[in-house]
Amino acid sequence: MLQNIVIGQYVPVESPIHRLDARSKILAVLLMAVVVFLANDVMTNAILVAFVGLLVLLSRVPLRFFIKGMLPIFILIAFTFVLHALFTNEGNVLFTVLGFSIYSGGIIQGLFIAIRIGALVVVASLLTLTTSPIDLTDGFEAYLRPFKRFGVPSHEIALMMAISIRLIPTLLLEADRILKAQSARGADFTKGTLKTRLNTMTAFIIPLFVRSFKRAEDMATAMDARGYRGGEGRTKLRVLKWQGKDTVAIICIVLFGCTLFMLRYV
Amino acid sequence: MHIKFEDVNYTYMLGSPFEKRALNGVNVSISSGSFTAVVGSTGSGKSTLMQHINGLLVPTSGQVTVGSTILQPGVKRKVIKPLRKKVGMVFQYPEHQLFGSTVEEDILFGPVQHGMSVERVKKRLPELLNLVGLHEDYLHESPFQLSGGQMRRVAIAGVLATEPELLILDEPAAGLDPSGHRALLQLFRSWHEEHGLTTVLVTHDMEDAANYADDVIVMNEGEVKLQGKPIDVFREVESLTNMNLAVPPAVRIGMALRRSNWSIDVTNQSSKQLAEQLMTDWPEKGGR
Repeated sequence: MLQNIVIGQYVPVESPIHRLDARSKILAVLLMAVVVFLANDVMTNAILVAFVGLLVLLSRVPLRFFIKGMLPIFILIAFTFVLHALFTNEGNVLFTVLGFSIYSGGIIQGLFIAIRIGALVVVASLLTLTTSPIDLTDGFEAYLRPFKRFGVPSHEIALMMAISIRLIPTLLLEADRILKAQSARGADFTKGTLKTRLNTMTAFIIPLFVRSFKRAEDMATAMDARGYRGGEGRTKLRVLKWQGKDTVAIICIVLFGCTLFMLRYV
Repeated sequence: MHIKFEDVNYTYMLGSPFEKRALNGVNVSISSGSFTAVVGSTGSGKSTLMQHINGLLVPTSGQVTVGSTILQPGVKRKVIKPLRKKVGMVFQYPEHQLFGSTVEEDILFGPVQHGMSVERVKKRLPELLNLVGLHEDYLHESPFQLSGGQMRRVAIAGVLATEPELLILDEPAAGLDPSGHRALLQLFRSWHEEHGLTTVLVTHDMEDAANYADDVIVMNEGEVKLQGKPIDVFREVESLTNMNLAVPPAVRIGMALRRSNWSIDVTNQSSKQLAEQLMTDWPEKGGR
């Protein structure tokens, strides 16, 4: 029932992007967040779409799976497009629907914004799709470490992230089991008045909470029993290694940004 | 209710990189009124098979017939809903599904959802609670204050309260101590006989299959490998071992004794039967 959620899902295939260091991928996503805002005309937007499309192909994540997982977000983006198309009054009037005049400027503006948001979301999900949760949190921890002297508990934050990401699939599995058990008892989560539906929802949510608290408690006990005492003096089994290809990847993103900048201002 | 699987395939997460085929061309039928055990090691597809019986899962291809209901790809909700009323399902660790503020409220959840007369069910609750081995005083307590074993009994009472015609049990005794284990399966067996139900027990414990089932279905890697009376299935020692399943101890001992020339009846499937036979035979054979 809850099988098609892509958020936080890691797809273990071999690809050039999978092989990059987590830190370079995180940095690349941050850079891309700036770069997408450089695209402001047809030419630069087209290049942006092509570049992001190339990244998706490079990641070797199966396209059908990727699109299926992105669908809910694409719907949201389509909605922002419609809002822009309706309320921007620039350029020529193209046609009128339901009393709204649609301007050419609105269509173009909406399209550009949709492309920007879309590109950002795609790039960000590529990060989680191509980086295992462990590498990802190690990467974040590496970036947070310098702030430790200002009292930021970098190891603890990374651990919390790792645990949360790790528990998403477990929680989904648990939710699926409870949903099935209550459905077998006759619960219908899609029908009925608001009141009866709220009642059936409690039959789903309360067991889910009870199980989650229980699991958290068990996990704390298990960590305690194995002598876990925080990040002090802790070494890592997997050490992140920044290699030549990581530098190349970052240079590619920077060059791409420069190209867009040149096309825009020169 | 008669259950029939025809060329049933089921694939989890179809169309994603995590695609996993769980059932592979399953053809099997379970006759009405039988107590059937479905055995198989972890990942053999036995739980997937069970969830097809009340439409929690719908075949990717093929068809499942339960009583007069036909389940095939694209089946409508309104076909499935009345089926769930007739099929009771006890999941593994059923205590995880409890949510009510009192035991009574939780047990009544199923009957209310199925639109049964609440008054009538309420009247039978003390009896039902006694039957699963709980005192009726527990009706007005919170289920979360009970012990794990008691919680499980409450959850089972919640399933039995809907008066199903077909009962599916997925490892109902997992994690119980031996006496709790026996008591629970005995309860299901006598409920089966008193109410003329069709019962399907999913387990990896061959001893349970030997002790309680009339029929055994053996699954491995998403396929039905063997089906028949327990004693006929247990004779296939070699193929069972290949599927990581152990032949019940009573059968194993009976066969070993026979190999060393004891004229013992190897149709003893349960430890109890074997023990009784050995006790009566002992005086003659013991001094050999």
